[in-house]
Amino acid sequence: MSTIKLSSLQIGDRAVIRGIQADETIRQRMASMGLRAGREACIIRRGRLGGPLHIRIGSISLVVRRKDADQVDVSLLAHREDVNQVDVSLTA
Amino acid sequence: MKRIALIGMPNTGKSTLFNRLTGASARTGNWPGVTVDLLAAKIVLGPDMVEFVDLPGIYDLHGFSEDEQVVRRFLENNPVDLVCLILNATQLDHQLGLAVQFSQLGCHCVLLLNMMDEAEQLGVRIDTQQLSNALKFPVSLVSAKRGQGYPQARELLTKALHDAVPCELSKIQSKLAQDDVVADTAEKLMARSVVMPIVLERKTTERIDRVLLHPLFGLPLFFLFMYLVFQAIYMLGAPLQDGVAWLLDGFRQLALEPLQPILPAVVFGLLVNGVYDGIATVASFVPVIILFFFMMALVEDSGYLSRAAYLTDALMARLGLDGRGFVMLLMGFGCNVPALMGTRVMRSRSMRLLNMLIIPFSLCSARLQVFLFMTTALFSPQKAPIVLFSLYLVSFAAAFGSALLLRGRLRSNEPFVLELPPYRLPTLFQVMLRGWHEVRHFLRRASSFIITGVVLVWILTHYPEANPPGGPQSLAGMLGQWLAPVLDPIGIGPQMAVVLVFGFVAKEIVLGSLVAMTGLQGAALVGYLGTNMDWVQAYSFMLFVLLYTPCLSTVATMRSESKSWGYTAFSVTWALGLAWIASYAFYQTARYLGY
Repeated sequence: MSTIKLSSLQIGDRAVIRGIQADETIRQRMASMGLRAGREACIIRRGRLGGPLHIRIGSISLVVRRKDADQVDVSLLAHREDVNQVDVSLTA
Repeated sequence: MKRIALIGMPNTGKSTLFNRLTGASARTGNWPGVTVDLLAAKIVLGPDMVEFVDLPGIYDLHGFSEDEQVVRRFLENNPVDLVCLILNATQLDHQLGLAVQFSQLGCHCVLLLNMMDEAEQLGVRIDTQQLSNALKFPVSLVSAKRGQGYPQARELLTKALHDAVPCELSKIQSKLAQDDVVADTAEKLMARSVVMPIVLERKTTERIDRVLLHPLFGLPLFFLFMYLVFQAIYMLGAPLQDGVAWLLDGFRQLALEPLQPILPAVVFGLLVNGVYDGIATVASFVPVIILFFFMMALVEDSGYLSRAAYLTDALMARLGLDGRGFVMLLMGFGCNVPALMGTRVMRSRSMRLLNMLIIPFSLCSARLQVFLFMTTALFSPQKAPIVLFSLYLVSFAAAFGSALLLRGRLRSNEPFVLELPPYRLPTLFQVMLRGWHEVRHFLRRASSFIITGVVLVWILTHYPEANPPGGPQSLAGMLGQWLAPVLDPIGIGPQMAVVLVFGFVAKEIVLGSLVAMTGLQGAALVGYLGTNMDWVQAYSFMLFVLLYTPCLSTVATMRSESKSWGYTAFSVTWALGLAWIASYAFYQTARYLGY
């Protein structure tokens, strides 16, 4: 499966983290916050004007600056459309 | 005496547990090997007197962040009998790795899983026996906030401590397994002993977020909240400060003034106008610090501070700061001192130092008093509000401009990844205790510095000749004349130069010093200013007052928070330089244009 950047995901997308393209210190820091290979991330919202991403990984919610999200490789699991339908059924 | 180190991740309720165990007796102190202050308290646990140390929240024992290094250095340099590890029971999928690391270190440990009440509600089920067997240390569930499981936890600590021998740890990093191995072990352990619902539903938090983080209304709501917080500090703080001033003044009149005929003039002046007024200056900050941290605890513990960071990060990232810095900057408009202390939420030192450099440019309520008086004295009622508004703009421009200029020197290479905790209601006890700790910290760190400064200014303005205080024959007056070559080009005369010397102590005494020096009050002083200054001089003076050192207490706080005289000196010089350049540019341009 081809990898894309975490920062390119749209609201509602779900993806698996494949790796972090950064030096050891930063990779370590991100991993300790839950951004580590194998975890599943879901995009909840994207900040306006290049603001950060709001994502959910397992039990926690994270804010990730777009510059840092650029360094995270992910592979897409499901697009927003699939999730939107779930959303509609929830609000209805 | 035995020692327990309290370790856990941020947002696990670690300080709530610490406060519950130690009450209000905790104080900050220095420790071998680490450069930051840590909170510690002595408590009785079973037969032993135990020292309980609260270490900074960390995500990983292996990491390189400043907090992680502090924890490692503390453990390597201070033998502990027991590590009390606290994890969030609702986030074990992320947190169990830390417990695995401690299990590998082989030191005595007790694991408390906090927020058992929330975990129950969310349907998280934990097999503590299984966990305990695998990790080889006792595990217990607690709710630090509600007190559930608390007696058991205390008992567990007492028992574990009884069997424990001090363990000296060295080279922690080399004893830990590879991060992947730790993560693997934690995952397997997780699968065996914890049942978590697939989707952890936090409906309330998600609903509130939908409003507060709304793409359009999020920011306006943020500014509305900040305005309300600011108003609350100001409206509640002003009468409280007046009350403290009234008490101190009453004491002065009843107990100290009668000493005037008995004591030699010099001794009386030094003790009462110097030392006592210094103490009064320190005391006047106490109510506003308590209020500020009361508000701060509400904003932070509720979970909103991280949300504010999300909302304002697009702008702040460009300035080399993060969104939490913006909150502190806005809080600085109430009072700079607690805003500086509040930057402790920032984990990166360089970012924190950058943030602390720009906070003093926030037009605080003490400066506002001076500006309100001067704008009414020198401008028409139509123009005065515009003048005041322009000063607020200058205040923001100076803060953002400084950040832009200095962000390269204080660059932070930490990734910006912030946890958004679920919304929680802070408990009153927690909020109160926070205010109390901060006030004590301020009093301990800043009072001697401030009192010395006030005494120094008293000597400057009363020696060798004190008629009137700060007059031409005093040291301050001479200083004013001596500074004439520097201050003439910005339109500030020798008399106003002395006012600037007073203003260095506190902006609250600027007007008082004018009264003392001219012997005029109220309308007479307004008239005096109107005839002795034109509006260009007045605006130049106000620009200078806005930008140069806010007050001695700010300098003292700057020093105690940064622990660096060099940084403090740089901050003061930067502000002075900026003040002079801004006033010079304004004054000369206005004069050149014929005003």
